[in-house]
Amino acid sequence: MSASGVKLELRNVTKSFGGLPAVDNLSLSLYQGEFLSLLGPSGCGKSTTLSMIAGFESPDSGEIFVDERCVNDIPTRSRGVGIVFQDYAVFGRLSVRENLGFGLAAKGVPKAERTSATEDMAHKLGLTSILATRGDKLNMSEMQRVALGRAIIMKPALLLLDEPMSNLDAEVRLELRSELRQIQTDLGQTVLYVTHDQVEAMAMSDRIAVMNRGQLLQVGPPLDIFLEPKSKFVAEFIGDPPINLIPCTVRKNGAKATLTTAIHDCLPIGNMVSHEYLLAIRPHNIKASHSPAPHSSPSRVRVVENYGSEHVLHTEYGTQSVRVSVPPHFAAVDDEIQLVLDLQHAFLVDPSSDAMIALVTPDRTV
Amino acid sequence: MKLLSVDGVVKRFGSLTALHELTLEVRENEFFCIVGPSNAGKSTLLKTIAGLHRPDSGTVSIRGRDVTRLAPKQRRVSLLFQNIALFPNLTGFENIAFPLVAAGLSKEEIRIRVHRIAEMLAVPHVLLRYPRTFSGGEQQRVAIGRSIVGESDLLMLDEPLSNLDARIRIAMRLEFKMLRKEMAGGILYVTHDHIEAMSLSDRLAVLHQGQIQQIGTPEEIYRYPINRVVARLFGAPPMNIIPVRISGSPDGPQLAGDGFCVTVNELNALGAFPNLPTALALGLPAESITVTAARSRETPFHGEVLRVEHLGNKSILEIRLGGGIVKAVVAPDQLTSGLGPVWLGFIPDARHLMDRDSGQFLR
Amino acid sequence: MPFVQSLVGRKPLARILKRTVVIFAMALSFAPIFWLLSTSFKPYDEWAIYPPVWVSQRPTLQNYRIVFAPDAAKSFAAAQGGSLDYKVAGSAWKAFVDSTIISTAATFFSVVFGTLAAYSMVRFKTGGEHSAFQFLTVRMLPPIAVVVPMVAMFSILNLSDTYVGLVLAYTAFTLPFSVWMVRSFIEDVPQELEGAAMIHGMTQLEAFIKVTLPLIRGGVLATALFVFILNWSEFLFALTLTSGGITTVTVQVAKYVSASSGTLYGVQAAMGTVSTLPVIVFGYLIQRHLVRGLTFGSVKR
Repeated sequence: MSASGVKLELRNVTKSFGGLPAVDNLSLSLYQGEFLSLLGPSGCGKSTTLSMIAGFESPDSGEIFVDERCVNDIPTRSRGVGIVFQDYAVFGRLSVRENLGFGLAAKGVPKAERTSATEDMAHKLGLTSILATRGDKLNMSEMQRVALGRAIIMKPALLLLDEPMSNLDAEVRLELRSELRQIQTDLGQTVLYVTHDQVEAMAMSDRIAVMNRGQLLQVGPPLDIFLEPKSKFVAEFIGDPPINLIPCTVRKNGAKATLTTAIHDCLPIGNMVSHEYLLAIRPHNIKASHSPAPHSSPSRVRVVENYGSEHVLHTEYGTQSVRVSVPPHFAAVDDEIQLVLDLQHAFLVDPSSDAMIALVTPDRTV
Repeated sequence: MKLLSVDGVVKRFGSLTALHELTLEVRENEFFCIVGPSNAGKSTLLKTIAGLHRPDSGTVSIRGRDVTRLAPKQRRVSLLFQNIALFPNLTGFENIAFPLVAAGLSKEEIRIRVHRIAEMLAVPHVLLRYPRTFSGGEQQRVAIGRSIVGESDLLMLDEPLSNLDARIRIAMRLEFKMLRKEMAGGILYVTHDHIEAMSLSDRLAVLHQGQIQQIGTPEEIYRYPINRVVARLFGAPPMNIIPVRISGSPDGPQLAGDGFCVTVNELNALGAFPNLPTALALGLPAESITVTAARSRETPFHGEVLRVEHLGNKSILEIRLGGGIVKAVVAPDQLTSGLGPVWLGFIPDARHLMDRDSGQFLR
Repeated sequence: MPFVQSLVGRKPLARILKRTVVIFAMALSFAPIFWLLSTSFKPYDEWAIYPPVWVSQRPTLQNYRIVFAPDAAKSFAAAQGGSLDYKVAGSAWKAFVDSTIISTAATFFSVVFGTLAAYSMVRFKTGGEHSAFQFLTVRMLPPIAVVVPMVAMFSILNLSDTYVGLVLAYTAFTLPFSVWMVRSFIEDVPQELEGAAMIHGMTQLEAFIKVTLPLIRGGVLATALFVFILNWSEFLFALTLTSGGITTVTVQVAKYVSASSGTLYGVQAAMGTVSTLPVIVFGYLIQRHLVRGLTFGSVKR
């Protein structure tokens, strides 16, 4: 067992299919007891990465370490990883007890030991009352717990989950995600969770690893990634409603500078070089009001999206629209409102490199 | 003028009743959503309206015309299936052109219309390719193109976005809002995602186990759901439902639950509820709970934060209140201290009192 | 492959073992065909001797001549002064013609009716949930058990020794198989595709013909190929339900026996070799239609 608690390490892992890299020089570490989400759009390489960690595919180059042991040449069953697939794949014809004990039975563990381990796991997951129920008679929450129990009972160093909730209703997903996180924390199980849903990743993870086109773009705690995205892709991918990208011009003026956009003129900012940028600003950082305010500009509402506890307005901004978060019933379509940009948490994107540059404001230094 | 009228429709499959005396109507130019969990009967309903299923009883009328006995092609409706159903041996162009070819339009007319739709949906580049080469988003758009090219009276969409990545779903939602301007008749849109439904619809219906629970505007339904089923479907997180009881006190009737006690002025109108059930519950929207680090007039109840979900633009707190658990939504900059003791406050709405046994809200 | 790899690892021993098994299986399959081909070119004294001759050192076309032009063969033999008795039946051309007519017609009817029946069973649940399987159990009956009643029925109905009679018999006996195979192909085509076609202007029948059929074309052709093979190689009914007027290839082969020379293995081998050709040609012609994954990309599961 590892002393330092690094349960998984990927070192420069690369995998190509027909000349195109599905996973490109990926290096990542996962620590004891951590819930790490591998997040990205379809085709970003997250599922291929999971396949390689599990042992279903082998990397073209690079090493994979589980519990500090290199597992590149070790078959799946000996790697010490547990897997939960999409839709959970609980064995419909077996009872909960048989499902939980399945791996142990396959390994030839004696009955007495199996029974006590199964009952212990059932107790931890609140499944004791349904131990005799058949797999195909369970509700979603029970099914998730059985699938998890079945994997965790084998005491894997690492538990892999491959988008288990992506086919489920929104309502059920909300419920299951709290439960999953609770179980993971209670049992201290290290988890790698693959998903394309950033809300899920944000809600459940200790850290998130964002991937796109085979490359790892950023790793960090959810709030860090939200507040300090390191690339345009990450900024756009994380956050619902999505971030606004507004073309702007920065003009240096002695020891200060101004920022100008399509409708906001010469907003004061700190010391920056003159350049054309994209201003990355989140919908709740654009303040809306009905009457003019310092540095506000008028804008007409084109679309109103009802998010329940808030509304999101799509308002005219030059040739584009921007999203603005407002309380419910703040405005209707075709209303004119005033917009103020709160640059405190905004970023600049260099249009040629897509790199994020911190926006220096008078109140905030880099 | 009623665009679509469904009246008392019953549909059975063997011993299973999929639709129980369903009645609803869609108005001209309306964007109408049907929300409900899987297996609520949403797809069955759409197929019955389209004519792919014959109802066991009840009628379906479109613009006043009884179409219950008519074949699908005579109903002038479009249905976009959940699994898309593009014709695999036809190109993108041929797929979109399909309804026009069946209607016997001229080649020139077809060409113009297909290209116009393809431009609008940003898929002109796939017109000459076959569906197996399309990405998920492209498949969706070509299928939508096929549905709207024929200018039917009613466009029906069965969970069109459910198989797409979260990212693409948000973008496509906006496109659908724009799409309704192209649709002359009306749109009937089915989904299990309540945010989608609220964002897109003029009115919506909640369907659960083959029965309609409530019909109304997104605002009405979100604010004042009719029962527990509807309340649990809306809101992220959904409304908290807490057992309470009414007790008298010198200040007036009090609403008491585990860990809190509130004087509710509206309850003075108890005359409106002559027979209050003994088992009561209170619906408490997550965003209506105020949370502070220190006790104050607005936050007199003590609780303990068990978990925090940081979603970036808001945070969801799981708080132990008395013996139960409530979820509260707070702005991201509030309470960065995380877990531990906090103080809560809320003003209950008498219209959120529920009969705990029947699950119905009292009105 | 990754699964197998995870079982046996990537060691060279495993690879050699895998290859050996494959070669062995191939050898087992091809051996009889090789023997057939080889025997068809052997002169009569090499047909059944021991130790066996694998490849003749004195290949001859005599067997093929007997199959197609027995008179020419007779004069050749007379010139040779051999001891073979060439009093065999006429040229095998008639057998090929008869077989072709019967097999093709029977295959056509079997596949057409089978497809229509399968569609009815799948879409309208005709005959209940297990109708296709129930239908298939008819085929599990060994044909020899019904030969006597069949002969009796045929003679009463005057169908004995007629093309119509044999086509009917073959169609009846291969129909369950057609239904069973086509049924699974139709099940693979989601009902929503026909639904989409109907909503956009077609009747159910049109949708079936113009949308579903093209998609299962490969499967239907594959079924046709198998049914054709069954019909072409059928012997029992061809023998019992005819009395000399009609001769199929299988019956013809059986006729290559003479009292004085015994079984003419070489000639049978030659006939056998030639009779595989139509099947091979059929398979070749339809192979480009046997395309997998035709529905990929049009439907999500």
